[in-house]
Amino acid sequence: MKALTISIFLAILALTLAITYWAARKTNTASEFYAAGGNLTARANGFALAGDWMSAAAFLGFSGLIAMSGMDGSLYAVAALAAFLVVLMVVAEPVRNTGRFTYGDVIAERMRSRHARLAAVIGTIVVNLAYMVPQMAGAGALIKLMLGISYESAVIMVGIGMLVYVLFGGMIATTWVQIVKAVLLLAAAAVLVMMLLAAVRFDPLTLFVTVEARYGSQMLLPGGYFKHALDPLSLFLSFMFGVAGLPHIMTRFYTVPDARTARKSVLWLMFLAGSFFLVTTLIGFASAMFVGQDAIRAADKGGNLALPLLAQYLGGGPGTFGGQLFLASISAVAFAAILAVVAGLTLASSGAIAHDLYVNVIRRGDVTEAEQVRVARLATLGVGVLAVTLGLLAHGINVGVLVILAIAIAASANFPIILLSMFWRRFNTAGVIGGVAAGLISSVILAFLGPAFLKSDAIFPIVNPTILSMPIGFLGAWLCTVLSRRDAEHEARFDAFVFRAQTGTIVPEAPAVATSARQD
Amino acid sequence: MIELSQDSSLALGDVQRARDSLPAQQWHDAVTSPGFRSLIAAKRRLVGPLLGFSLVFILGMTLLAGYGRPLMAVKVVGAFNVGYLLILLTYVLCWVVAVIYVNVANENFDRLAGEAAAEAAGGVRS
Repeated sequence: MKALTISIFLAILALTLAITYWAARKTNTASEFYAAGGNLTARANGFALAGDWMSAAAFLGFSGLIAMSGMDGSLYAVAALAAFLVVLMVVAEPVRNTGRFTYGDVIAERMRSRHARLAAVIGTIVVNLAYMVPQMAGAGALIKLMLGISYESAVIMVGIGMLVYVLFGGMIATTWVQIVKAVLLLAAAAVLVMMLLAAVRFDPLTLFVTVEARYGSQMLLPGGYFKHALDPLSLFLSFMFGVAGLPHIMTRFYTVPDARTARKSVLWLMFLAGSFFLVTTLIGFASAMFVGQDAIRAADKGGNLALPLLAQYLGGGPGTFGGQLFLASISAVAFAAILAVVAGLTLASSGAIAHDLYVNVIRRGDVTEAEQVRVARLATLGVGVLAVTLGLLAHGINVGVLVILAIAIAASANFPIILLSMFWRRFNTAGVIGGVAAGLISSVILAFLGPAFLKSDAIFPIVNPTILSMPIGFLGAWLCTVLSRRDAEHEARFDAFVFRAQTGTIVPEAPAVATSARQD
Repeated sequence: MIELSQDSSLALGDVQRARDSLPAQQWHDAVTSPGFRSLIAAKRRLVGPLLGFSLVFILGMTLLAGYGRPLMAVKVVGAFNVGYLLILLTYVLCWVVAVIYVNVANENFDRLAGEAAAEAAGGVRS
């Protein structure tokens, strides 16, 4: 039985390594390493975005939460889709138009200041590490459970996988690993949903009726997971504004040639990932109905194995070949999901260190193309080793607070400065530093004072700090701007920035032609 | 592919130098030109109502989830209640809003941006 699981794992690994081998031969310049040459189609980038966004936390976590707590899990899932409205309509196009490889590029282009770029680097690294550590810890626990190997070897295995993709294949390999993962995940979900619908005679309402009858009307109401009345609002604020401040999501918009393609790729993402988030409610309720909450809890306290257990049940049950095949396939998909997400995070972090910190802050841009790629690979290695070390240290520690922190910091530290950079003429470097500091410090303090860390002794009653830390981030940015000296030259430069951000045209001499030529 | 991306990155450096040498007045003219203004007005007309309505609907739903449990519990069909209806409507809302935005933006924004750029280029030449 283990042999079947291992062979499916190996098949997926072999496929991703073949992609990396192919991608490595096309990765020679910094633009290819960080942005896949900027030539992706909307569909490819849309699938890759979906692969980036449907993490194991979404794949296993949402359905588990719905199986155990009911509606709060469904609210979580729809928040993950609603998150992209602000990205689509406010952030994606200007970010694409004003940056090259990183989110630091946008801030530096607006502020013309190395200090502002440094603040963006700090925002990027903290968010990415907070995002990455729970992924590594989750991977360790999951693979340990599925393959029977130790937590430590599982974390190291994931670390080596992601390092190989990013080191050799850069953004091209990362993109295609994410695309393959998205296709596998969506195919698995489609098969699962068809089978569970067949099991209830294609009447999804049966699921609602059964779950309510067996586990009480509480399952169909909010409050199973959220304890404070403001928890849902704070969660949605976090997602809707935080995703617009996630550096590894922004980086994906540099892989497309123009604003039109950037827009269309978000649309792809919203339909691909959104359909998946929608069916997590059916998957969760079906697990609660067919597998049962007690059995799910027995397999994993957090409920994270609801989906794999449902797959096993629908395949024929434990001990049957079909059940084992389904379970093994789902496990392998979850493994691929983690690999694709950590690869994207590693790449975005190495961009912040190599491109922002080394090339632009330390060397002030005076670096040859070959050295840029070499430094990018070195930074990748460093980030990978750090992520694996932190993943190993996280063993046995409750990393739940980090999951909340990553997105809360993105909403409180990164989002305010990117928004104000684009729309406020007077906003300056002091404001960038003040905004990042205020948002970062307040979200960390509030998260650790909250229920995710202190449980019932929480001083701050709301799990997600964004409801308070995002206003504090904006306040810090505003206060530091108005308290610093006005700079007429800096404010005059806003015209050029805004023109470029909104039109995508870099210079008046070359309108439209420059962008259309790059589409070929 | 390789040649193209190298071209564009080279062009970017040249362009940056060119832009920095342009006097601020010309950029001021570019952003106050009728072409650029109509682009910004078109964006505001579209994003304002779409995003405003979405935020009110979605954040309103989260407040109901926190403070309006009795309303969420009202049954619509069988066990399916108002709470789940609102969640389902949020999916529909997100998709409809995204489709409207992308269609209108692809139809208008790029054309208006091109016109604004052409106008600004004209200003530079004169």
